[in-house]
Amino acid sequence: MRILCFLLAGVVAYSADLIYISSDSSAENLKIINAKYQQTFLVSESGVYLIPSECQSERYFGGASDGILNLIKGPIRTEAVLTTQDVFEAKEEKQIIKKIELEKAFSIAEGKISKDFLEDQEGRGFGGASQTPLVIRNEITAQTVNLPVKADEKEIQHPTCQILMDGSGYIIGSTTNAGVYVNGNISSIVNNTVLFH
Amino acid sequence: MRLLQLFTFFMVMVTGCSVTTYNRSITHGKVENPDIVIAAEDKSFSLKGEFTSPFQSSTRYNSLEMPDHDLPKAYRQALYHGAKHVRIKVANSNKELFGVLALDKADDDGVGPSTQSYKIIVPQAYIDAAKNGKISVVYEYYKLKNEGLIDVGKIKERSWILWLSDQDVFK
Repeated sequence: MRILCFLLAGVVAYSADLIYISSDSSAENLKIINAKYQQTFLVSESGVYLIPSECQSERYFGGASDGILNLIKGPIRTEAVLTTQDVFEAKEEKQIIKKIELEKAFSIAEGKISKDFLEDQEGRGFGGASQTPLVIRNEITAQTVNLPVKADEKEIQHPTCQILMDGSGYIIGSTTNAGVYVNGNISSIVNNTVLFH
Repeated sequence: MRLLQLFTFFMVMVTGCSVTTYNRSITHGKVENPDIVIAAEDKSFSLKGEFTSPFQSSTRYNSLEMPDHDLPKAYRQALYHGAKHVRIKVANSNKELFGVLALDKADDDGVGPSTQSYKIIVPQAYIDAAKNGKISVVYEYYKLKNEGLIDVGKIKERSWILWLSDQDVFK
């Protein structure tokens, strides 16, 4: 039984592509990227990449009570905010709003949502259903665009990440001499493996 | 006969591979707030700051089988599965809270730092809500590898769970 499951898992196992966000790995640009996304990202010879949600290393918390629970409420959303430590312990609404803004920026980069669909009049909500009417402006009609493809761009192999079998971290593939940018410093990756702490 | 074999194979495919197993011990953790001390009622352990896991329970309370709204009353079954009676000392209060603590093993398919160590956080709002015999419960959770045939991306697997109340309602 376990062998069968293992074989099936092996068939469907996959690695996720890292999210390419810039070719500029200058210190100044890395600071800008860090301010915008506030998460670990990869700096390699081929560019700067966000780590996709499949390989992220955040901790999540939750709770419930049959008493009166006075939690800070964030803006109305159609999806739950990922309850990271900041959100779980939030004492002010702006802490939750900040997390939502970071999630929005990341989701746009990851291509899970479109920026135009996101931004209603009040700058809140993730699209879809809402308790208040959404006013979606700047509707876009899809157009056929023929972008010229540079010859050297075809050759670029963007890095990937794959969760380790024991779930303790992930392996970065298809790149060499890459580092992870954490809190203003680039740390080299030993054996192409990033471990969760 | 052939139909029976096909049906059996189908059931194995659908149910067999979705069986979760919790075999990975989590050996250490940290109580994040330095003012909080969680001590066993039988005085067998006391957790403050970084700690080595004094026991491992097996509640296996994931969000699919145990949603948040059912969790406050789920301590009894948790005790049956190895959770422990505790007393919780919190900041700005001389009175200890009563509680039940589960420190579960991690699911084999779990990913993230929560499968490697515990990080115990008790926000003030949950302490405030645990008055007059009411029960609050807080927990940390992790996600599962979402690589199989069944979508498990939204399931929360809880690693530690702490029930608390100002009265001894957990007996």
